[in-house]
Amino acid sequence: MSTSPHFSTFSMTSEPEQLARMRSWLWTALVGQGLPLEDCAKLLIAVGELCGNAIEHAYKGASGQPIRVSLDARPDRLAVEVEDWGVPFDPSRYRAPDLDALPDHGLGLFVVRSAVDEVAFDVERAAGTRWILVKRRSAPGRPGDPRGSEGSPAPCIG
Amino acid sequence: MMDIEVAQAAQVTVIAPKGELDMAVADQIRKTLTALIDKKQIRLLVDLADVAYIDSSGLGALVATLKHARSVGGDLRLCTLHPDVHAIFEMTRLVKVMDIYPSRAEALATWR
Repeated sequence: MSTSPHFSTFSMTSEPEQLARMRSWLWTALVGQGLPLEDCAKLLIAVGELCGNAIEHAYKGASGQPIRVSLDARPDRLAVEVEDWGVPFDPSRYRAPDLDALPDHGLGLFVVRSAVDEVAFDVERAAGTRWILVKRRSAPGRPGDPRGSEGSPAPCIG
Repeated sequence: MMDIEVAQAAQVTVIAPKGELDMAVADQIRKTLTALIDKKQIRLLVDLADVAYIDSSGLGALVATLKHARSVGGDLRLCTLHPDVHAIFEMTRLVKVMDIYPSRAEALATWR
């Protein structure tokens, strides 16, 4: 287990079947950073949602398009970036789901914001969106400590 | 493709998917459950004991089927959620609007 700075990148293309490969890479990378398993699971979900959104929304379901996931691990936090080069995210079109109304769609970004401490996105680029997720490391604990960080949904900063 | 086991327990159809319930298989799950409802099997119990991961696509498939089942007088209930899967249901408050049980036996008992 390591908390020394670490940077690694994973590249995939926009087929849903590739999400499992991404999750496998990310899980190994996160556990290797000594993050509590509960926090690993939350980051896994959040990154999975953004990759899924890239497939469905940025690339409109077209296959063969690039998605890049980068992990930047620091002593006090882990930052994961998800990049696509498709249709950029338009925050004006996002509507938070009504959780009391049994929503069967639109939960992805809500899950992302609930799972991490900070969410930011960058669409001021030639194409697509770069999402930045931050999970702060909790107080020192044993690797695999099931206690993770809790909190209200992360603010989404554009 | 996801391996999905379907079994009958009295008047309840138990569906046990195996693997990770993500965007790649959400449509398959939805179609499997919808086909059961179309055959008038409207009491559905989805046993998630062998599902270690679910994303919003998977959640959406389950919720859409729940709504469909209830619209025809049936229901869809869940059991045996892994802690990480349960956490997603808590995060989205679906624990408050879906019937979720710790085990298959406890879930089946509620249908009697």
